Amino acid sequence: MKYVIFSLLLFLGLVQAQDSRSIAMGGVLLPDRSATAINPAYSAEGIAGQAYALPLPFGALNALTQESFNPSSSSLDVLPIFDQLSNLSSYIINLPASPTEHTLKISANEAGQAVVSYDNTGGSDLLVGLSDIGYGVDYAIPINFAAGPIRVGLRPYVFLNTVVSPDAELAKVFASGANHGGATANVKGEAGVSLDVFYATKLPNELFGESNYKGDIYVGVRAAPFIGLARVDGTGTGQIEATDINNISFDYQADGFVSSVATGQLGYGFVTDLGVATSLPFNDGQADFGLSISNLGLSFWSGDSYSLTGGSNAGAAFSNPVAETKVYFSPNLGVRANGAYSTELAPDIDMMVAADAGYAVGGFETHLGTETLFDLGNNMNVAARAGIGYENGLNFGIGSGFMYSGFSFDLALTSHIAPFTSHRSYGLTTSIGF
Amino acid sequence: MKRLSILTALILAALLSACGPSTRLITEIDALTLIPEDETQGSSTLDSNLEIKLPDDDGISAKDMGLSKETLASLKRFSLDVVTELSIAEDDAPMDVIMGLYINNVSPAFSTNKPFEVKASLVPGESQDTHLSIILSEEENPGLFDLIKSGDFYLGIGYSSLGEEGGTGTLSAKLKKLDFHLIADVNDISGF
Repeated sequence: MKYVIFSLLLFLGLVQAQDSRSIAMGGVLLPDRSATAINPAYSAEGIAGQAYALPLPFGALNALTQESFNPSSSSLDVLPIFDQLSNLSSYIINLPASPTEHTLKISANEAGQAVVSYDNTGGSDLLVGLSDIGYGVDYAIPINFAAGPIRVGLRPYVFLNTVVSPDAELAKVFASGANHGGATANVKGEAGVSLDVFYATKLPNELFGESNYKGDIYVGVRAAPFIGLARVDGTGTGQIEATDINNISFDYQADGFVSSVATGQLGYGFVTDLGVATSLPFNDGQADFGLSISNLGLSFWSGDSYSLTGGSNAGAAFSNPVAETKVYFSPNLGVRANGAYSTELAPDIDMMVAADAGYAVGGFETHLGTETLFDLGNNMNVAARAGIGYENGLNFGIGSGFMYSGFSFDLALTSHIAPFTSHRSYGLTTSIGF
Repeated sequence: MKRLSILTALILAALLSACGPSTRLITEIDALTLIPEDETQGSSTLDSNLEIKLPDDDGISAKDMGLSKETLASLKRFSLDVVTELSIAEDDAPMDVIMGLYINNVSPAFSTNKPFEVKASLVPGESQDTHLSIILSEEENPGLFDLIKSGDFYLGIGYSSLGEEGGTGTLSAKLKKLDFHLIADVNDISGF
């Protein structure tokens, strides 16, 4: 069984798009071909950069070495698996661990109402309290090739985003205690394959006419009709109330929509990425800016809708499935702005500073990174990199790279906050590029 | 239907991500707050019989403490801490008092003849905290542990003077702490 998980992680690790060069720079979007999956303008002819970066999926090693990844072991722990799954290209050195003890404290307040509070000990600190608890993944395998003036390819993708929001009363359970509370949960996920068609070009300078803009402007578009293989969408709310210690009632309500190719239901639609990028001389160096909107589009899904209601008095009641066609507008919409400045510090030493900010399925994210490149002659280069970023929490990276001719080998040490916890994980990432 | 169950299971898996098969679940009950205040204390003229019964003549049941049979069935270990403040009046002679914890399968709790006992030597005019802690598990007191696990039990605390010469003073007892600790393994809770 652990070999099944190992193979799964190995496969997923291979396909995760982010390479260790970017990871070492805090996850920043670089103004070169590696940014194509986010900003299609960077696929234009004349843009520098490697076409492929292949992360070496060392993260899968944890499936072999960690007892907590073994489903048949009594030390099975889902928290480190979530962390490794969310950071597949890293081998996480210090995985988080679930608390060893969960404690529920029951007492009564002055009015005689039961009050419940929760605490835990051992393991990593869990994120509980007023804040939303979320988990999101967004994987895609963009494979594309030049075909005349365009690039075409296939992109199998999957994304999932879940958020549980406790209300103010429930949040008290994790502090002073409460006798009632509620929470709302949302889950959105989709899997499919898109047919990607990229078109990107440098705008001819004549277009600018008399303007004295000295830079190059690139525009790009990805047009991607897709077939959806699976989609889930669900919203649920729950309430719990303890009027006294022997009278605890709860009720819940949930609506869900499920479509799956396994039962002959399909989705289809069309998404597009639009991007613009510019590169211009600035002081003694070069400045780059880019802006993109991704996954703008419409989709149509045939599936079944269900609703579920229940509670301590009524018991659970499922509605009969209702066949339905649902229309979604850009469920995985993202926007991203990026900029970079590169200059020669000394003969044979180049430096770049890059930054980006944007919104993706999981929320707001921003990154800032730098790279210093030393030219050793004979087509050999060595790079030193560092960066910070904000995604689920603050993350940072440092790393180095070795380049010879068109090949590169990159290494990064990274740090991020593990999902559901405030645990800071450290990971090791390597990739090869060509 | 099956698909939604899978979805529900996925969401549940996400919510329960912080549990593994070896995780321990602990329930701590501050039972003192659950007992009406006038039932947490009593005073009585002493003789050599049992004189003060808390919280009442019957004892407190599992249900009174909010413990369902399902919760108790997965129990691995049960422990209880009792603290009471005992005092005798200023003009009384010093005396020894026994505090007894009674756990019984029928009501009243005090009809069992094998309580857990602790002795306190009281000085007139001074109040004294008396502590009693018990641990029940398959290894320690297995008989009583099985009774607790069954959920059909009554629990009471009684005080009596020790020796033949008692019966001259006024004893006051006040419950200051009644804490239950219930420990279960996730493994043993149905559904995992």
